Amino acid sequence: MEIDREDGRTPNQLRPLACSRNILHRPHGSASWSQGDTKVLAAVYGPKAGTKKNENAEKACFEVIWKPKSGQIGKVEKEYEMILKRTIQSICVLTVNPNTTTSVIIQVVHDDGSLLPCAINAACAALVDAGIPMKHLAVAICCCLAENGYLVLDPNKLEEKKMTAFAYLVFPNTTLSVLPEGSSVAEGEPVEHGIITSVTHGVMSVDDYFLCVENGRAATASLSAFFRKNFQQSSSNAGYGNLEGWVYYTFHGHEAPFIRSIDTNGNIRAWLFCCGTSKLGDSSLMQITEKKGTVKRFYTGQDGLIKFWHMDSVDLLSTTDAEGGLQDFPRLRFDKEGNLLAVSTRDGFKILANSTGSKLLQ
Amino acid sequence: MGIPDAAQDLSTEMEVDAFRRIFPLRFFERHLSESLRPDGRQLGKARDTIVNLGLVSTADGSALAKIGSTTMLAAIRMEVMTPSTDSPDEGCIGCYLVVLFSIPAEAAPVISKRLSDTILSSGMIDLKELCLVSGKAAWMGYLDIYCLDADGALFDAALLAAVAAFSNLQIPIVALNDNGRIVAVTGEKDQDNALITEKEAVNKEKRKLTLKNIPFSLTCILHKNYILADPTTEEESIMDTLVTVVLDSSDQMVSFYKSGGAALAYSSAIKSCVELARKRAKELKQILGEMDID
Repeated sequence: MEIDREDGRTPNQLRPLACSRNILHRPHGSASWSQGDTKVLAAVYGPKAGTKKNENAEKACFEVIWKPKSGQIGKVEKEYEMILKRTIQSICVLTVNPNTTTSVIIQVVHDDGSLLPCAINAACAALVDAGIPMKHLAVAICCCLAENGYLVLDPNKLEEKKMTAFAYLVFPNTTLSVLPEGSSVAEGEPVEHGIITSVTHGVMSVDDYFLCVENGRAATASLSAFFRKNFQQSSSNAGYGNLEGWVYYTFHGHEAPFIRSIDTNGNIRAWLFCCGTSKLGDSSLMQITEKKGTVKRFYTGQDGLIKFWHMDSVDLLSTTDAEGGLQDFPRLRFDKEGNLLAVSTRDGFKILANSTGSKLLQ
Repeated sequence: MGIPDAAQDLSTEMEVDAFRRIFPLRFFERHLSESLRPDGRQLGKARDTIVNLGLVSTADGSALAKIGSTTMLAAIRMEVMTPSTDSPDEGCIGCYLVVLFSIPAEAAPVISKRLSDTILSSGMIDLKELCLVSGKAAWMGYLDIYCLDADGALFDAALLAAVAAFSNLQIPIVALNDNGRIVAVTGEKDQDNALITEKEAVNKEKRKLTLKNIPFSLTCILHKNYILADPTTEEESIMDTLVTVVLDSSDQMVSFYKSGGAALAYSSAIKSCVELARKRAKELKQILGEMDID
């Protein structure tokens, strides 16, 4: 199915992608995402205390503000806000920070087609930059149908005008698995084949829609790879010293992504799970510390113990109860420089380990 | 999930209503495992649907659609306006959802935008039919939808009401007077006999629009591996993944709308939703057909 595109791309080829994070100073997280000439800026503030009036106080709440490049805010912007809000709600873990509001502000810098997918990708990158706990990323793509029945991905504005129908599709990102049984499967299809969000315009046949979904899924692999590569690049910036890179791993029974922390001389690397809900239904915070080749894994679950695993196996290495006093679902965190590991307890917190090794400070 | 034990103990002692309020998800899942819903419906069955036409006499077209308890009243007013320069032969339609109560404020503009997108992109109305004098005058239809009662599946009821209102629409008679402006012809014979000779009647009689490709929609909830058609507000609030499929009379997909939600839509779920939408489209076609609407 060949069709001539004006910029010489093949039908399934995306425009050049570019993403920069942490570009604004005031917001807690920010990112700019561009696909070809379409550029969107996203900023994340939060989590802040308190939810809005009618929202559930047991979950974190998100609000999205969409600012068009020019003109007043109308129904189009409101619809985009609602779609973005619901997409973000479905990828973020809402139970980690209950009764908080996180604001995501989208500013359209230039619209050259495929605007909503670009905004979703930018919002995702900004949420990662802010360290908001997420289950997986949302990867968005626009797929459209030309009059002669050809399918084209990521159209620019001129191409969009000529199309009879188009679909904005958002998928979860593809993940790399450390353990072979780590890749999650649901209903016989890999998790990344499920659609998070789909918005279509124009009339198309049902088969054409399925074709769009197929093509969209294939494109998410390259978008996910781009996300992964982009997040792995570390900067020696001290401000957000411990939230600099993402590598996605799935572990047996857990699906949440990691945040990787690198300190300035690159010696200590801490891998922090950004919260997870395992298939067994327990919530856990997992952390991994890699020190000179041995990798250990911590897990805190409902029973108030902290468990250690070696990264390559699922057997328990050792447990500690850190002298008791741990809540159910305690929180494990590294400090800003990645030197100290602390766990929350009923009355405050305890220091578990420091950078000189796996010594546990009681 | 630390609650299951507590629920087991309490559930034997609790009343049904209390259980429904305190453990809503478990209440629903108990029903779903028997392939039923609390109101006794099958999973793929929509609620009873009623459509009434011509209720608002002051509007040019109106209809009331009731799906279960969700009630939407659609009314269309036609006004003459100047068409835009890039489409001088076409009129246009503006859609406004007026919320009386029980819809959150931010949902209303989204539903009305989706509605106008669906109506325009389905090609149900040929905008060229709305043209009066090419380049100078065309009809603009203001579609107002009033939500009288909201109990889930708002978009479905709104679309049904809008489609029925358009089928009920009669374009008023107008004439072109010597100033070159369009004026309404009220139909009083003694006055008009003199006037009509001066004016050129542009619309000789009230006419209806021809509707082709009528869109029909069905909203479903995806929850684990259950698909529930036509949810109520209670179901929507507990299981938040909604999928709306809009099919037209020639079985083309006008819209597949899924906006976030905890559950992901896999191909099997998409296929099932489309099947349910097809069945629903047949039902709705029959209901509209009983009122002599094609």
